[in-house]
Amino acid sequence: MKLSRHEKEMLEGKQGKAKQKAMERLIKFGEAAGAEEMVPIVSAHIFAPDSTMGKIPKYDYGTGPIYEEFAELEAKVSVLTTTDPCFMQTDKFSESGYPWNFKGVQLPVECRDGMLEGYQLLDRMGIINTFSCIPYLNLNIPKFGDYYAWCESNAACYANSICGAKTNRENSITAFYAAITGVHPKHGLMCDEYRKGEILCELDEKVVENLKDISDWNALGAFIGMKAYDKIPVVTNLHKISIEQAKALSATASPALHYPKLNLVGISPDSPTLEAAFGGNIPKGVEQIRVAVKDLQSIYEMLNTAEDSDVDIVVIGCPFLNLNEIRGIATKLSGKKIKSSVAFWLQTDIHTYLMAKFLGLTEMIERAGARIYHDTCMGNGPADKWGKVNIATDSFKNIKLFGGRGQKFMFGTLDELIQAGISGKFISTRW
Amino acid sequence: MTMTKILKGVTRSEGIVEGEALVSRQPISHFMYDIENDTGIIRMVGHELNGKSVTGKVLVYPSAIGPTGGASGLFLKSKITKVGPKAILCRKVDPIDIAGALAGELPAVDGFKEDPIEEIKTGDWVEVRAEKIGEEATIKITRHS
Repeated sequence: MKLSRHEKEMLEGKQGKAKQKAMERLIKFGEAAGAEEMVPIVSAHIFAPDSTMGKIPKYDYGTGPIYEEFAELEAKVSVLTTTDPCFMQTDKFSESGYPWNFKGVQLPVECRDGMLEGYQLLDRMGIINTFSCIPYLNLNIPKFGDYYAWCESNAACYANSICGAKTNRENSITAFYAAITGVHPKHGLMCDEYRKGEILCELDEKVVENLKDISDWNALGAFIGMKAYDKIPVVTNLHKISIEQAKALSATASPALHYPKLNLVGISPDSPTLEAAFGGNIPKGVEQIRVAVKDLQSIYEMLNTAEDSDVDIVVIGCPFLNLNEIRGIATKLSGKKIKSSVAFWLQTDIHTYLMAKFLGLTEMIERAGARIYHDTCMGNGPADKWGKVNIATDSFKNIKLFGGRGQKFMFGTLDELIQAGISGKFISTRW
Repeated sequence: MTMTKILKGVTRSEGIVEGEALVSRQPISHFMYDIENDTGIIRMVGHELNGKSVTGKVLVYPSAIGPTGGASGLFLKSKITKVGPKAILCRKVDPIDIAGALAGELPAVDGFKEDPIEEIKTGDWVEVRAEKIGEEATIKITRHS
């Protein structure tokens, strides 16, 4: 691997033991992944520390021993580094009715204590414990053309597709080494030759007209992702996209799309034209698909797996909600009452939560009998221990990524979800 | 009767090990929710290997699926809780699993001329010799029938 003077110095240990170790391991990874050089990264977004820090391994992500090793070497991060969601909101560990404490299932106290230990460890290294899956909306905001090492798939997809930044959905180990050194081997989507579109997805006019609710954007992302799978899709006929819609569409990465990038013609900064989206020329005989309204409908059908209409949980905020969405939901909940048998969960990051609290929105939500929490999501909770539950959501990622643990799902629009919360019954009226 | 076969691949992570093969036609995630950290048992509802243990096996699968935390999941199971596979052989080792195998110090090999999923069967004895990253690795398969 070709190394700069700065990188060589790190490797030789001139900048401390921690950077040396991280460099040695990054070089090994780079050689194995076929990288020829390093690129400087602007920021890293890494996995949260282990929940129990090794005390009960089944609750741990496996990052703990590596974070501990570097904290002992007095490592400090070289770039802005934020963290992905963790296991629970620790200050509400004992309160029931949240994902970490639901249906009588309580996570062991080691999970909370390990997390508090982990926070301090990361804090000592200069890492900011944001516990957010939407770093791109708060604090860690990507710019066009810059390189990043981010471990969160939906965030990587947003960074690549909406901001024109360059990141893989980087693995949970080398993203951390990149935080320490400020560099990462150039591979995958960091290389321009792998950022070109490979399959054309044309949206019917009727599809564009029908993209009303966030669930519709999730259905569109799901359909495109499942068709394109390991090819970067070029999407035409979208003329405008809101931040919330872009967030939903980007969340198709990892449950459906292998590489976290959509080339949205006229929207993605590197895809102003159809030709540009394909890297200069439209390849002869390129695979084409046309997305019709029936395709969106088919996703709704596929994602509705519940055998009856009784709702146990309504969960919104995968990826996390922004303030605009929380405001909208709080307004819709105003004067309403969630049925006592239904857990109604809204998920966000701490930045947004605190602002929502300041504006009185969390109080409006709680007064209606719903709950809003930060730092974690249902997917991180012990869902496999809840038994048979019906979960209503508008998130494709929630179902596909966290759906393999015995639950049944209902997929619907925001209004349908709120109605389900109030009546305890999910009734699909979208199509 | 005993049949032996040699496959040549490319080393993505180094190691010399031998063990029994466990072959999956479906992709695998080493994330903590998908393969338990304390038992090595696969917990992926609907997966052909759901309920099977990867511990001590030479795990053969097409490539990775699922969260980027598959890297630290593979590391933890291999190096810390010792319930991980002995080696991984893939059509293409995903960068997520390259990182996990390097940290977990187990060999990872891909780049075969043949399809490892077709050539290796669950229960085969597999010797993996993967000595230097980026260079040739040798896989010896022994099958008793």
